[in-house]
Amino acid sequence: MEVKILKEGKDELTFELIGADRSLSQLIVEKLNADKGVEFAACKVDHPLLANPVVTLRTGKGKPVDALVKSLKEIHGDISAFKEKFSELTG
Amino acid sequence: MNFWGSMQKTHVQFAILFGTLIIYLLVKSFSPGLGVAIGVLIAVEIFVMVGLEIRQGAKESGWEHEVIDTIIALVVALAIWFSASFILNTGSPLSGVVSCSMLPNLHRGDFVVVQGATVDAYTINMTKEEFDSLTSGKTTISGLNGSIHGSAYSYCVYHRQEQACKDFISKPETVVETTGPFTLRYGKCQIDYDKGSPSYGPCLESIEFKGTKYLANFSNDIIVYKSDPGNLYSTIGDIVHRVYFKINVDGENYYLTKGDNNPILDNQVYDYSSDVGNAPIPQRNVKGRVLFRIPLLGYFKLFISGFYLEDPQCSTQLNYEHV
Repeated sequence: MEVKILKEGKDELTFELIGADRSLSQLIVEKLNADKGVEFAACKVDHPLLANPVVTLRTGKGKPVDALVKSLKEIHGDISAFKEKFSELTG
Repeated sequence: MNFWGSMQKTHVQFAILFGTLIIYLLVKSFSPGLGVAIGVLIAVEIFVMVGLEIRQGAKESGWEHEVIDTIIALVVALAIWFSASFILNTGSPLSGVVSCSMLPNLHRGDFVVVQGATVDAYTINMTKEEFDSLTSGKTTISGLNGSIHGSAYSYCVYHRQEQACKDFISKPETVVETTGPFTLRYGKCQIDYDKGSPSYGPCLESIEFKGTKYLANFSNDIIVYKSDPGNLYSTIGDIVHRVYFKINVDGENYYLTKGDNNPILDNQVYDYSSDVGNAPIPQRNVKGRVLFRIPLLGYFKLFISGFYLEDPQCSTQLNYEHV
């Protein structure tokens, strides 16, 4: 998936997830908001089918990219753990 | 102070209040943040006005007199509310429009007068079995394996990258959706934005029931209803939407509704992250049909109730003429 950075500041980052839908953008925003280092994270979609989700996040201090990478790693960890549990159960 | 003097003072207060509303209307599209601040200011102004009025009255004729005055004012307000309830035959004779889902026919900030009366809309008869198969919530969609909850539209909001959804977005007219006794078809609607050029996206075109095709109809009545707990819309207060179908099931009426600015019916909307949708609306949840609207006056109700932020749908408008 292609990611387009729309705005990058000292404590703010806005990016567009090209081709993504609500499933992924909602997951990322929820993970970011669970992070105490993130002041604010939200997703804006001009049209749920025709437009790409645009995610904005703001950190109090620290680089926003680091916060995003941390959240993505956590998502990856969650999915790997789920995958493991799932294959254990299904054999 | 004499009567005339206090009247003039009230005039000034109302002028300030309406002046602030005009500023709100001018500012909200440029700066949503400032819009929220002015919305809060208007709510504060209303409370200050009432407070000043009570203080002024107390100063002039004493607190005892003012307490009686305030009680009389409240009784009069309640009397007006209850007589309106009685005349209009509904528990909620007045309502404010919060969202932009009914554009261009109802606007955010409209004050609507509601009447408890027979709802005029497409009326169809269904057996209990047919109605149950409609509400069990399983939908089959051409081009998609198996059956799902909700609709092709809702499903694709969460699965935009799937081939079936890419086809749905580019050629919605080829998709056939079946729920219980209904066959639903889509068309392409023009979507106008406040800024920028229009785009074209799927919107409900018609519903077929027992061999008859019912097109989206903008002359059906608009109703105000409350959504039962367990439905997706149960947390957002009263909803003002147009009736698509009035369904008679063995003498009991149910309603399917759609916002004029929404591409799909309320019961086609499904949130797959929390696994919740909207069931047809039973008669007991219908507060009445919209008689007429008074523009802008509803904003005061919205601001007192805490609805400050305009929803993003206010800057887009679905154009059904191009289906």
